[in-house]
Amino acid sequence: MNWQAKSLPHTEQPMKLSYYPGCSLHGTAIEFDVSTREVCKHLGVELVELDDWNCCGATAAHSLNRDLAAAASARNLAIASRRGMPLAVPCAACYHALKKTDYEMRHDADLADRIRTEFGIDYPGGVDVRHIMHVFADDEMLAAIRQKVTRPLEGLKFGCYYGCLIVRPPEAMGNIDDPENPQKMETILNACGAETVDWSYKTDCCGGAFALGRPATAMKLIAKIFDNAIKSGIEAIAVACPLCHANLDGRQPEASEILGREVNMPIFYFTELMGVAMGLAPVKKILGKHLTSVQPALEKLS
Amino acid sequence: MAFIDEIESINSELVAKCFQCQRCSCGCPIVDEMDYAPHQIMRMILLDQRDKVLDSNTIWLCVSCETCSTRCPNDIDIAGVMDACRQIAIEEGRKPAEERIYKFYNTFLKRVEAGGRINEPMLVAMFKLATKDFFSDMRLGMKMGLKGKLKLLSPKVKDRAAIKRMFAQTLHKK
Repeated sequence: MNWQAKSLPHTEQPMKLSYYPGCSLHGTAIEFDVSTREVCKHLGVELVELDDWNCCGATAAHSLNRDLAAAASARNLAIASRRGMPLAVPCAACYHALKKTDYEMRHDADLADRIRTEFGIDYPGGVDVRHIMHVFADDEMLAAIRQKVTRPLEGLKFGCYYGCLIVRPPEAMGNIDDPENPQKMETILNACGAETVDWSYKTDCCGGAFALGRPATAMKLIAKIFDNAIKSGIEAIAVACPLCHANLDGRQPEASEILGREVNMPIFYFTELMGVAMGLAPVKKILGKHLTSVQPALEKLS
Repeated sequence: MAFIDEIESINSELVAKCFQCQRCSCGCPIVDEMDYAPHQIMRMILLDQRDKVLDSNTIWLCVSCETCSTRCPNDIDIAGVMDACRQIAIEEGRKPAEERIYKFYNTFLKRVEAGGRINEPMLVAMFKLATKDFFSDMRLGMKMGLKGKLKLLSPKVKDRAAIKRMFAQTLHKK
């Protein structure tokens, strides 16, 4: 199978995209928001935040009511559809909800009909929903990124961690990347001069949905991810999801206890690493917000 | 109505295609904590073992990673079937086998209903009230506070009527 992101039209200068930050990027994942906006600005991509967007419902909505989940995402998609631009989403959970709902609205006529008649949301499907990673991972963008790199990310071995929601299920997610061994994040970090390592746990679940509901289970999953990362020689992990980041960045004391060895792994949003490679000051400024210090890693990079 | 038809009326997937290859259970990250493995749940649905499925902890321990749905050779959306089971269990007022997980989802959705968006510190506070578990993760919370990650106020959705309607037509529908 040829996993390929459809290229965005590069005719408009600057490229303009609708932007759905989601609740986390306005809160605990502020670093993801700032780094995404800064990197886009630097690459000439204009992000226009969606008007009056609502929460995508995340795992909670589809766990308790299918129509509620579809309606919550469909409302956002209908707003994006009126804008007529592709919709860029950094949060993996929001991306998954929006992309999956768009797929369902195109493939399940009964659902689309219920959403229109019972919720007053007329959305037949069709918005081009993009994870922000897939905006950067096309050939033209990668060439632009290479040109903007002033400080190649040399000196550390990076592991790209995708988690669940960007790659699964592949059909609803547009068959953009291999669900068992995705590569898009690697191509972006490689363009920034980074060395990336192959490892087995890049799409294993971190238990994000259980971070509060069943933390002991989440910590077991987190520990397994760290165990494999360390055994693979990974020195820093790049993520593309606020829940993965919160879990991997914040639960290292517990993972250390489970593994019986100290885990001290810097966890970056991949957009932060792009910002560092491009020498963007506002991105460097927010790196201090991480719970596990990334300072030693940054020193190795310079 | 047979149990399988109930499930398929919510999630139009074809449980009947399951030939018990067990790929779903082999890839499930939580399977060792479940009463029944995912492939067993598929079989139990076909055998109309409604109560056993709806009262099992399996349907609540599914973390929605969708590894099973991705790997199923018959394209059964197993994670979607688990969603449908949870929905049926809640609609008929069953006590969830994993109450804390249910309470988290429920608290999350109440916060969405209240403002259209999630404010994370408020979500955690309300979840602590719902579970009466006030002292877990204090250290993590303090660290996040000191790093300036906890924003106490966040904007709400202006079109409140649209949000209200979503809940009136689903969770609050009589």
